[in-house]
Formats: sequence, C-alpha cells, structure tokens
Amino acid sequence: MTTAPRIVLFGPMGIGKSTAIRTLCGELAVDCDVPNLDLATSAKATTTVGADYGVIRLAEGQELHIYGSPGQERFSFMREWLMSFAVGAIVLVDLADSEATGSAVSLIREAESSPARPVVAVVVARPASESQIQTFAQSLSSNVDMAVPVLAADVRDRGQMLDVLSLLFSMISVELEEPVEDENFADY
Amino acid sequence: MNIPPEKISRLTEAFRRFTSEQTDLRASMLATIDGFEIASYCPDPSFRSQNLAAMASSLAAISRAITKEVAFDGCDRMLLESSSGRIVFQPVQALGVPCTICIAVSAASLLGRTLWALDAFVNQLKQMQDS
Repeated sequence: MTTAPRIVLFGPMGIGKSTAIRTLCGELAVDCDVPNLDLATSAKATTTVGADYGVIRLAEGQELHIYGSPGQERFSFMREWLMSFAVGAIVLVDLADSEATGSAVSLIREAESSPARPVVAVVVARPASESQIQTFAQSLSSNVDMAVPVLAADVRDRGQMLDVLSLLFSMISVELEEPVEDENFADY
Repeated sequence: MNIPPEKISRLTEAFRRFTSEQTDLRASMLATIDGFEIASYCPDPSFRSQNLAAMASSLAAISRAITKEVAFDGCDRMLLESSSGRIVFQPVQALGVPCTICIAVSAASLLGRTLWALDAFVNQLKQMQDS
C-alpha cells in the first residue's frame, strides 16, 4: 500500500491556512476550529486547535492529503507532529507582519531538522508589491543559506493554490531525483 | 484570554475544591476550548500545565471531528488508558466559557468512581450562576 503524499500548511494565526484547505478540498475538508477566546491577540471568531485536514483527488485516482497546522506557539507539539510526516510544507506569510521573515526562517529550519525533511515553499498570502516580495525572498535566502521559492497567491483562489501545489511537487520530484507521477493540477 | 478575572477566580476555586476531594489524582486541568489554562493541579514539579491545556483542547477538537465524521451526536467524553493510569477528557460549559476538563488518575483508581466524580463536578460547573 502506498500512502498519499502529505502536504502541510504552516503560518501565523489568521493567515488563511484553514481557508486554503477549504479552497483546495471543498467539502472534503475537516476542520478543528473552535471559538477564539483570545481576542486580544486576534479578532478572529474562530481558531484552529487541532489539525485541519482535506483530500484532493487527482487524475487517475490518486490523492493528495493536505493538513493545516495551528498557528499559535502553544500548539507547537501539533506543528512538530505534522512536520514529522510531511513531504512538502507551505509556509504562508503576510509581508506586512514585522515577524514574517523571522517566523518563515524558523519554520524552514524546523523543516530541515525534521525527520521527514519536507520540501518548503513560501506563499505570500496577503497583497504585496513585486519589490516587497523580491526583498523578502532575498532576505529569506540569505537567512537560511539556500534558495527558497517565494510566490504570491490568494488562498481563496483555487487556481492559484493549485499552482502552488504544482510548484511544490516539482520541487519534491527534484528532491527524490525521480519523477513523481505527472500530476496535472490544471485538470482537477 | 479575555475572560473576566471574577469568572477565572470562581472557576479556579471550584476546581481546587474538586481536586482536593479526589484520591489517586496524578494531574488535572481546566482549560479553555482554545487551549488556555484556567486552573491546574499536579504534584510533579516537571508538569507543564500550559502544554497540557493546549493538548487537551487539540484532543477535544479532534474528538469532535471524529464523532462528526461517523455521524455521532457530539463527543461527551474521551478516555485514554495506559499501564500507568487513565486520563479522562470532558468538555463543559462553565459560566458561559467553553472548556475542557482533563484528569489523570493512577492505575489503582476505580474508573467508575472517577467518572462519577467528574460528572458531578461538570454538573456543578454547569449550575454555577453566570452573574
């Protein structure tokens, strides 16, 4: 039995991880959202305290399993568990957040030291200019001493999120040094 | 955590009375549904109460997702068994605050008595008047 590839979404509270999974997986998504009682930190009505989960069914009967990690530091144990079985990780950031670079660097380093060593792509999930994205990407690369793909995507736009997954799979393919099944995300 | 201090104080007091009445108690926790500690008890100095509060809320959320998946009507309680003892998780609404209670008892404890005591405490919390 071959297990479906697992991709995990990371990022701060409120960045859009749950939204991204619902965008990608629709009614197949399972959420662990509860009322947010910490309104001082975020005005969001709900927050994820378990792990969001969804399935994307690809062509030829294949599946992709997507997980969303809670963003708050007190749920770091969930993040570590999710990181431990992911083949790919998507880090969502908001460049208006002064801690965007620091938190992205931290997650990339965590991925590197994780047993599964997932391939990482960073997604700028809030509007930002091309130059802001370039600057961020350069800063990120210099901090982690390697090139990390940074792309902009609206987590509510399915086409854009599928493009992100497509890129991630290309990277996973290179890491494995063998072609992953040619997943045509555009057809899904 | 935006819960009025007066509510925290009342819940903490009720929780302390409950834990003082229990035998075979290894640890206990009253946490908000989103993983913040309201009150806890554990004689072990290495106990990390904030971790248990977050874990209890995660487990409660995953349990609810599981019961929803099999079309059950909610999750009333969850039980973990170990050779060292048992851990019981139970959701409760206390003074209008959605919470999770977690208690860990030794292997020597009687499960029935533990569950009865927990039910009694949950009912007590439900009946506390939200002023």
